[in-house]
Amino acid sequence: MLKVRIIPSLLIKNSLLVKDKLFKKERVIGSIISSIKVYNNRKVDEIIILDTQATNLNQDPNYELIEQISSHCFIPLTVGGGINKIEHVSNLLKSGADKISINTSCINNHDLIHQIVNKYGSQILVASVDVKKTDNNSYTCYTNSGTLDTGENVIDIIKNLEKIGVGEILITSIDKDGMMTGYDLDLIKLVSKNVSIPIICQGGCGSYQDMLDAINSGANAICASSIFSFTEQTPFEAKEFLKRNGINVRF
Amino acid sequence: MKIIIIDYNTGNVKSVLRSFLLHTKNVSLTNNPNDVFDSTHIVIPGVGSFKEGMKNLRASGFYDAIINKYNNNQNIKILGICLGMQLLSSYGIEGGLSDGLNLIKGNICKLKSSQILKIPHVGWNDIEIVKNHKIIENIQNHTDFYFTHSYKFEVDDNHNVLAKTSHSETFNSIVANHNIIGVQFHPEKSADSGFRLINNFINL
Repeated sequence: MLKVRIIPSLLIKNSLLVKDKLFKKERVIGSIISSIKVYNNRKVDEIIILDTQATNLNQDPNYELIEQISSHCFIPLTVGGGINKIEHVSNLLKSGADKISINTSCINNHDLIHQIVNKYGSQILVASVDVKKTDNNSYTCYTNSGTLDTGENVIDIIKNLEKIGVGEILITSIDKDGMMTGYDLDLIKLVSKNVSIPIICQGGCGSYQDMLDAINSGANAICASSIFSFTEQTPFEAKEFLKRNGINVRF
Repeated sequence: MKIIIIDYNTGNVKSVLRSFLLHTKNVSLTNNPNDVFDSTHIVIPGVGSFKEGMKNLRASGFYDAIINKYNNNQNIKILGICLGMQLLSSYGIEGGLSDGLNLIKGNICKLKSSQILKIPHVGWNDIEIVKNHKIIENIQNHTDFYFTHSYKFEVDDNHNVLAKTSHSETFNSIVANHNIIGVQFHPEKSADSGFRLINNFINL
């Protein structure tokens, strides 16, 4: 039986290039690499690396960094940030990425999505959809690392992405991001009801119970960041908790 | 021993190379079909659609090289991973009808989907071993491997099935015809259980 995945997401922040100039690159990369090594050995099911600045600064993906990260990663590695042409995808795959996550281009560049799906298949592509709740309780999609409101309704966007052929949807609640007060369960229910491809949820996870609630709301995979970075809670314990509560996980 | 991982312009070949390098130095990534000639082990990786995969396999010269190699030496060890496994079949329909390598008789068709058991089948799932083979030596029944696919390999002869996996329906997760082996999952991304399988392949 298919297991629910626990996926830590690691954000590559704006500072990476700046630190490079200040000769602090190795220290920054060092911490990413050691996180990868730890996760690789701790029964994590997959890792997502997102560069939150590449698109807004119009940078290419950092292939060198992905190459270093992937050399320590023997579980699936999904990479996102700054991907806006097919060459980015092929170079990332050559650098050791296994899957590609795309946010901005998923909304405004459907030609690229078609090209990727035709060349590498649906499985390669995780559509990253960032949303905010509106005053009338619907959700609209944002691009450019949450800075640009497209005004488009989340349901229209995800149905269209499924039709074009993306393999999975990473749905992120901007309102919940980093708050550690639980996932937006209404959002997860809404999304999982409207598409039949796997859903990875992100934004708000602060406890193992939050993960269980998200899974029971329809999430096929749990993506979390703060809980593993700022608390003593671990992916392994999360799995033990989930298993005790009847969820199939991998050990 | 000469293990080659063929690079015919599909997917995550780097990950495959790295996982083999953990076990042996006698492995290389190649886009030159002449390397097939004196190889002992051939790895066909791949992600993407069947038709595109076959097109690339033919255009790169690997199709002819592999078929010639097999005709001259039926003891050649071949491991097809994911799309690479599917290309071992007789034909597939993804992207339009297309012939395969026909090294394991059968065809590739789409997995069923449901609202609860979604397609693509992505994530860690366990295998149920139905037949012993050196490739699964020391691998426990119900070991988890990492899958990501929407199509399945239907074999003509059930003797070619080593393991099955259940999702929206039960499908063949490991197939073999002597030393020609196909795995629907990604051993290079399946941590320890994948390493065991790769090591078994090297020692075939």
